[in-house]
Amino acid sequence: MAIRESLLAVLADGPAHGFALKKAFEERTGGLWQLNVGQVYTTLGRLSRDGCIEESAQGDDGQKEYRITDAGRAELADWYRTPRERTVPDRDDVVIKLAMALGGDSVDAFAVIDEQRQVTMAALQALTRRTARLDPGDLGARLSFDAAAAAIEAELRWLDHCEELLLAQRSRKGGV
Amino acid sequence: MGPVIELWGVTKSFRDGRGERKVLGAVTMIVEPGELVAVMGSSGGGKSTLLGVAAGLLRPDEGRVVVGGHDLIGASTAELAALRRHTVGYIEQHRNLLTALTATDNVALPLELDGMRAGKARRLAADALAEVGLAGAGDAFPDQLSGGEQQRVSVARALIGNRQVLIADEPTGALDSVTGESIMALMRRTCDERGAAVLMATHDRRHAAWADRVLQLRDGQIVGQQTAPDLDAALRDPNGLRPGAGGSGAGGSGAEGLGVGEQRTGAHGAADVGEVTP
Repeated sequence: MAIRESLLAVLADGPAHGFALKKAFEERTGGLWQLNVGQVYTTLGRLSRDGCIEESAQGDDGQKEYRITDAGRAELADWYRTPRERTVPDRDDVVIKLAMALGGDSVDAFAVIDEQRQVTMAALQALTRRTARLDPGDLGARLSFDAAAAAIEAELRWLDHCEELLLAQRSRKGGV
Repeated sequence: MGPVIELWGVTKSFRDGRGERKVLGAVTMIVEPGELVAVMGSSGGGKSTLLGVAAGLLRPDEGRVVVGGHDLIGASTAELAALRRHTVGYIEQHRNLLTALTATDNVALPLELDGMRAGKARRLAADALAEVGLAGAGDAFPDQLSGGEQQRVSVARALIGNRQVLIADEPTGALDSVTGESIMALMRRTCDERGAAVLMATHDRRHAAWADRVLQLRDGQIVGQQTAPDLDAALRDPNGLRPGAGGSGAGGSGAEGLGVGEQRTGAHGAADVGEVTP
């Protein structure tokens, strides 16, 4: 997860202390992912070591504030400019499970699809309820949730596709 | 209050070029007041037939259908028409409205057909339009409204006269994703705030996810029904979701108790899955 670049992105809008950075990250992404404070400070330490940020004088509340440097701005600009490479997704145990089920005949593949679809749809239902509770003006949060929903929906779409392939194969065989 | 839609062992076959084809095979399901239930499944899986039977538009071959407390088996054509006027609203993907009438007149029509004075019917229609977010659009004709607005008018008309059951066949099918979502939000509100029951067919997974329960049909059988996980539990632990965990849908546990869930064990039993996921 792009924590390093996210912290730079928040700092590009003005100096902030560590806890404010954690909160800003979570607000911009609607709280979909939580950052732990330790992660934030470890990352800030590395950014500081690499000359991307500097610690400024203590803020009003006595906490250390961080400020982005020119090197930090350059790294951030580079991140925004560079699209992420996409390759074959990581190994997915649902895909493997279904491939195993279809490769042999020890299990009913329809049953594997039905069970998985229930769990995956439930996740989409829960996410839809959380999305409906977001502030409509909060576009960053909204699109973070939509990305998660799109990923879950993709699995449902794939499960439906598997079911249709199985049905087509069954009717070719003149089965049940 | 008990369930507003009950289907018990409903079967339905159609005759086509290749002979008799069974579209619904012993479907049992219920919908409770305030519940939004989505029906999914591939084309030809029986979604529209299921909705038609529940709306009293199609007569099943076997089984029992009770809607709003009325037993539809053996009901006369006139009784079925009365059911649709007083109890059940039905909408489709498009062409729900009469193009020659304004939005207000479209919504008022069921009341006027039922003998209500035009003035009163139009006042109630104006209120119903306001309720679906179309307070200023009463004088517009359907072709002056966007697709989403037309569906809002359709929902208002379907529920006018305090009808508490809305049956919707692909209500968002002709809409773009954002407009479709606003129609789903409207249906959600209709259930949550009015206590109406909505039974809808959709092929859009994102829209189905607004439902309390999602019924999956295959070969005319219910092969799965996902109950929305409890919202608060989901907020605490978005990764620990399991269907039916919280049961925010009032009908979820009830339906399982009625043996609806048993249908999915049959040919593809849960026990089979257990073999590969110990």
